[in-house]
Amino acid sequence: MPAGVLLIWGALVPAVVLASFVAVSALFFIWLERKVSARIHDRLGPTRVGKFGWLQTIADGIKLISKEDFIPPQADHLLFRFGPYLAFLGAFLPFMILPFGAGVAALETSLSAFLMLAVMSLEVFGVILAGYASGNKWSLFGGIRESAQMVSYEVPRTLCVVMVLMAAGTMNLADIARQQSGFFWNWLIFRDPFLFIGFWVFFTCGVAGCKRAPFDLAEAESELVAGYHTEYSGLRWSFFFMAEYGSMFVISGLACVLFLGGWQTGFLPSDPTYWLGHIAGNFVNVIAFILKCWTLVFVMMWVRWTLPRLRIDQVMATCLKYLVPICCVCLIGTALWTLAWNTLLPGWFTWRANPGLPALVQQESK
Amino acid sequence: MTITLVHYLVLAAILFVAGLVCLLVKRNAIGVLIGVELMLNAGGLNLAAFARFNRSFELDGQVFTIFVIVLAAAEAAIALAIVLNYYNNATSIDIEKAQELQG
Amino acid sequence: MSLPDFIFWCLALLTAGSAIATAVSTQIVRSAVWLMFTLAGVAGLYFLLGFEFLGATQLLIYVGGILILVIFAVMLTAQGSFSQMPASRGHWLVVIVIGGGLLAVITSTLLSTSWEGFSASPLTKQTDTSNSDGLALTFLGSSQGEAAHPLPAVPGQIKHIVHSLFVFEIISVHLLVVLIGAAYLARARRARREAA
Repeated sequence: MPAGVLLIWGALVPAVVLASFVAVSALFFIWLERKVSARIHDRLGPTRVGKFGWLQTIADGIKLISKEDFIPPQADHLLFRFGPYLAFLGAFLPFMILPFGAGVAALETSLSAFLMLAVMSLEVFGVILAGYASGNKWSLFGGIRESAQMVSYEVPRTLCVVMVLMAAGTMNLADIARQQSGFFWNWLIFRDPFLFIGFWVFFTCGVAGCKRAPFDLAEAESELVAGYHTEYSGLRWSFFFMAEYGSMFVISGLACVLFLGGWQTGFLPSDPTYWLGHIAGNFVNVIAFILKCWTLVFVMMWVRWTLPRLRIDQVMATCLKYLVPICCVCLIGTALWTLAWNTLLPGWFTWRANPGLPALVQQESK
Repeated sequence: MTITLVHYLVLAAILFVAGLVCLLVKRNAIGVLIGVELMLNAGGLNLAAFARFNRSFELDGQVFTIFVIVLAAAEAAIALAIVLNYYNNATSIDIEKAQELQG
Repeated sequence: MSLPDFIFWCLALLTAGSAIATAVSTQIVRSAVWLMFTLAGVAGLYFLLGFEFLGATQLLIYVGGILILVIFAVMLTAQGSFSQMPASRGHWLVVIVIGGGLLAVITSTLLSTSWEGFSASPLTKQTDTSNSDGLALTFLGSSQGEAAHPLPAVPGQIKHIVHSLFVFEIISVHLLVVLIGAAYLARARRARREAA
């Protein structure tokens, strides 16, 4: 039984650490979003609570907790309660798979990229459920829009991930990040032109998947009051917010791992774990990874406060008429490019440390 | 008591029967579809359990389970398209009202 | 009770309980939510069995795909909020008799069969790498799947080599056909509305 107890501890510790990381980073992101939006609007943003207003989110959190927990009488009570937790679960589960550093992941399997796609598709469920269970037609519209948008944008997002998997020859996110060690021109985004396009498509799909502007049709306030979370207040509503900021971090993290070198700093010749030891090296790694993710999250905020919201038909057309064909072309392009590196130019650019798909089969045949 | 194959098979049987009950009881056409999904899942669980408990079926079992999952996806897509079409014609998805073909 | 067994009982309880709730619930969206818990439970069982690829596929296709589709269809066909269509009491009686009878027959058959060759303690932790690589190579039709993942020879049984390229091709073509079919059905609907 001690082995079992040890296993349970080994499961609980990462879970608690990650859950608090999600909550704290949500606090930070909400403050950052206010500051960024204020600067873009030429305002100051929160300044009163704490230095630079950094305690503002905590004050808001206390206000939210003390608010009345109201469930509208026409709502489906059970599903109304499920909604926020399911949304948060969908945003939280991918953190379990995300590699924060060399060997710093709660769950490292050979299928982690596939598993990541699987759990990331769960998040939409909470939103749809919330929209449906509120018993409000605006919420229902928000839910339907959200489901249509998410299901559509999953297609190009998945194709972009498949592109990287083909180029890297593995489904293990940690291995993909390890392949990109060294200077930043080793990152997969700079590997070939198709992956370069793929990154931007992936990031666009990520923004759409987080329901962020310009794709926030599920909560378009000028049309739908507040969309799927119209009827929510207090703590339940804050769960939706944590889910949104959590999934922003996750999609940025996935973009980092797949295209931007994961935890590699990009200006060190090799992984710092080699010459600093596992713990100190990973300290550098984790900091680099989180900073990269924060940069991408900042770009998302920048986009949100810069671009106008699309119409729902424009959102669907962007995905199905433009992004999906672009992805298909890039997919074939990446496949041919990988094949060309491995067959036509064997031995060239071996410093890219890139086995590719044919190499996998060769490995197996040994 | 260690977990044996029979545990998995009994669980799959419960799933299958629940699916059958769902299939027979629901008047909503989508409910019938949900019942079918449950039954297919029971089948998949059976195959996976067999694959695990006899190593010579390990790969076959997984391949067939994936086959079942993909078939379920295909079936759901077509069935929902049919349901939507039927709803468009009859403005109802109550299958007890779907009696046009009876003559 | 070891930890895998304990996890099995938890997952089994979750799966069976929500399966029954799926069948019993009169409201269709609640049914779908219980179905989600059932599917997640089955995915958990696949993970427990060591088939990570199956578990992830189950989550991706069922929970992320089919279930969203189902809820989408419910929303598109809803008449009034939270419509219920309960079955009659006699109907329920017949169904319970049929279901209970079937369950009794299956269970008694399972318990009376001797499961020779299906060993009782295979829940050892094996490296998932070989597992999913073997599966991938099998799907590619490569006999190296066997080489990478040698199967133990069972006495009295012909050792067969698994090639699943054909299955893989059938799945692909099947999905393509379904895609076209579903698109056709949706298209036909729009054409009819314009004609009317």
